[in-house]
Amino acid sequence: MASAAAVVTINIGGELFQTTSGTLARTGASSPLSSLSPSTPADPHFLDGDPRLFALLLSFLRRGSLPSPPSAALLAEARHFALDAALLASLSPTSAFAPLSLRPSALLPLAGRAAPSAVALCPSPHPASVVVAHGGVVTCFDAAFASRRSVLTPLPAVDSLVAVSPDLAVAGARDFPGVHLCRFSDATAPPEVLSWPGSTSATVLSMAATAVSDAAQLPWLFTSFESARRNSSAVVAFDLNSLTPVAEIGRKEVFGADIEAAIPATKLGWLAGHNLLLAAGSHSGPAGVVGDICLWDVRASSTVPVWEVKEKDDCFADIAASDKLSALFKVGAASGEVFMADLRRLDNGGTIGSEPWMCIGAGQRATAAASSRRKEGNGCMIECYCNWVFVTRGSDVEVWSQVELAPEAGGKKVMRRNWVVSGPSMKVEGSEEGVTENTKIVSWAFGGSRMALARAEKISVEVWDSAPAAICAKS
Amino acid sequence: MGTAGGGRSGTMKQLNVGGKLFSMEASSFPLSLSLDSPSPSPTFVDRDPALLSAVLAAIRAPSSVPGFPARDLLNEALFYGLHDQLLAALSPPPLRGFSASLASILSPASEPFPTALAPHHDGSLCLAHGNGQLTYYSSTLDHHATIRTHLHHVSSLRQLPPSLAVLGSSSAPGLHVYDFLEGRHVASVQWSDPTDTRVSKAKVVAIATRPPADATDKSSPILASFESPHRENCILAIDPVTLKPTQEIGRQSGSAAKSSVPGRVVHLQELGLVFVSSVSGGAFGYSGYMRMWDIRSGNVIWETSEPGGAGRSSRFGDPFADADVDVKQQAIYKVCSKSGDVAVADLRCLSNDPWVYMSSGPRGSGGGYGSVLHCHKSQVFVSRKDGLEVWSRLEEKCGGSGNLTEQPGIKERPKSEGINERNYRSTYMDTEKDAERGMILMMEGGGNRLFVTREDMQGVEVWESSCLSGVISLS
Repeated sequence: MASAAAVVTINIGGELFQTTSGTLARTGASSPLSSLSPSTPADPHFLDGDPRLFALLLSFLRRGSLPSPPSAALLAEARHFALDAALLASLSPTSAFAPLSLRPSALLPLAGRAAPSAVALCPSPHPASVVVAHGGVVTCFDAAFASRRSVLTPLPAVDSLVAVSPDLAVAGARDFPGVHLCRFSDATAPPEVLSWPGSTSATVLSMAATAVSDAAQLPWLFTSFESARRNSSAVVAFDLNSLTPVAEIGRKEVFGADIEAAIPATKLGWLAGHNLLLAAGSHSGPAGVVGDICLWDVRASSTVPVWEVKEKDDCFADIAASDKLSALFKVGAASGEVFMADLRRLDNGGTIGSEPWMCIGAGQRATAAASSRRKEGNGCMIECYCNWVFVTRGSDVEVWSQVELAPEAGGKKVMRRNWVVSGPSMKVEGSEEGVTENTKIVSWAFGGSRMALARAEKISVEVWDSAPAAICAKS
Repeated sequence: MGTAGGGRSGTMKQLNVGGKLFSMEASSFPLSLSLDSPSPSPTFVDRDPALLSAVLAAIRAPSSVPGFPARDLLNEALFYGLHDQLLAALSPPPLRGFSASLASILSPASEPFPTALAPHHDGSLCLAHGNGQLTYYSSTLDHHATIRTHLHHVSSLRQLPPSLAVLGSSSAPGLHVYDFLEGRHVASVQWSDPTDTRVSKAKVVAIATRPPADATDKSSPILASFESPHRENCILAIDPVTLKPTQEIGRQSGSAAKSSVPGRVVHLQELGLVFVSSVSGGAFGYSGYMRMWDIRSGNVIWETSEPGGAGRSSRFGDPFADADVDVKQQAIYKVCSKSGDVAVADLRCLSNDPWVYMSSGPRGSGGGYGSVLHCHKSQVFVSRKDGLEVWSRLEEKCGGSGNLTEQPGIKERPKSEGINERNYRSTYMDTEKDAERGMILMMEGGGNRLFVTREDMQGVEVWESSCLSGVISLS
């Protein structure tokens, strides 16, 4: 309800729309709609456009969401009014992410014959665009899955991929030098490569980007480099705004055959709330898998980590850091069980030598598996997103959620496990198209309310969304 | 675009919704907006006109399929003060078992195997499934939230409006209360006895919250049957506000079948009684008891146990497989395990052998093994191995009973005054195709819906009566 003075009448392609200046102000300063002054039906503002599409846009401005995903035509109309960014951001808000409600929502087909090797999702505050590397091509799907743009990189295959914004992704490979920038807005741009100043032929093992709060600003990118001769490694921080290296962290040199003393970081993670960089590497040798986990405070020191632990028994198959839960999580390579290390315990005097890991799965099984040197955790991946921890096991995804008991019932926080959708024991009844036959998960990413999965030998990317569940109609 | 009501112009209200004029009778539009002031121009509201027309159309023609999601329509109706009208229009017609059919299958996104059901009288459903997950569906069966409890298996569940769920597990002790909208553990209740230290870690087997008929009574206790590890059991009355146990009823040793923990607890609030039943089935058939306790005194009012007791000799080898109370009709119904007969006993005149056996209508084969019996909306739903049958009561003609008594061939007069087995009719509710999905494990009625789960079936079936013909076009 509004007083008549604030009512704006607009004539779009011959049809009259009335709204308030307050609603139009939500478009933001760059939109032609935001500056319209109140007007009467006798003297409306005329704007060229499609009235049917504009009705949807006006409904979006009033309610903040769309009833159904937008078409390419609606996105084009929204771009005309500089509304497309807001529209895309509303599609997959991070607040709507609920792992127990994740359902397969879309299958993104890829051009060519190369199966995807890496997927990434744009982090907030950007809309949740999906970036996929297949062969040497990197393709970006917009958050509404209405359009896609591809760029060709000089790499034959991409191993690590970070989506920085809907217009920029960075790609690296284990066997080829340099970090390659993919700018989707301009496919003909000259190639841009970031490399380690200490050794320009160094290959990329892993990458991670810091979190930014402002969409206009680009984050820092941490890249773990290993020299071509595999005798030195370091994590280099780049400022993506200026494309210059800012810091070199934890440089390691191998002398002689003592490889285990200088394991390069194969997994990086950024803990925004703690301003810490997780750098972990593992090495598989004749004595089993050994690993090295470091937490770096980038501002304090680039030579001495804040915390470091050497992994001997049941080394991690994969490791991830959770900001919200203030903990590190790993999957044991031998046991396949999930372990947790509380960051707060590490802070106050958790010294090297004391066991930081606590098994949140079946502890006894983990000990038995570790002592008998099984390899249950081989190929498992772990990732943290919001308040949850996700683990892939072959073709399935399991989720760990934290349950806090009431104070009078002990007030404990416990981690509990579930399968996302079905789990291995249950057969998927062939109703979900394209998801009937599952193969091993090769790469995955989380962003917005979505999870993106790349599976082996599938020339497409599965997108799972935790939108409100649809009711299966009677067949 | 006006939607005109048929009244005089004096009672008309005009509304300008986003540039479209709506006019309707004031009485049909309990708008919260200040429309009373007579102004020359209609009041302007900055909302989507398409949604208001959809809301009005849904209210006028209840059975039509709306073009917008129910959740959006309900949000819009809330603004105009039409929420209750729309909710009534969207909810199913009164449940009549003999004309009900399968309306939809609710399937939660992850681990969709139900372990407990708790519908509410507004037609909403709280569902426990998989490994300790709770999913809440609103009264329009919109998926609302899925939360993880700390329990690994929820085996009994009840709703405590507006947003609490009371649950117990067969694998962990105690009664737990969760807020399913916030995903928070609110409290837990344990059965403890300071004079008997053996009573500890008791598990909850069955829960009864306030009967759906009077949701206004906020002080009616939660009743839960607890069983400690050495099989001693009792029923605890728990205050629904403070969530503390107030009273212990019917403590039993649990050493025999006649004193084992009840698997069904029904609170007969008007009579101040608790009805409990316990059935144990094994290789040699069923045995069980029914018992009624006075809540205030804690005395047994009536009990019967089968096999044994003082039943009719012809029914000696035919113990009941399941029993339930119809609170409104004040009658106990049971289904016999061997013959599959359904029998009724009037609560007002219980005696040694109060049972009236009903024999009319079609009956499924296979006797009553594995039968589930549930009373809802004055109808009795009985599941068989090969189907789901419903017993409905015909309205009795006043003073017309003279004909019946004179009929020859009646060997035994109905024992209880109010019950005449001739007034019951049984019909199949499902088709043969429905029965092929599996044996029915659980049945619960809520509002005008019946929720059914089957063995090895994912999700919950929702059965509703429908006004729509469901015509199939052949052209």
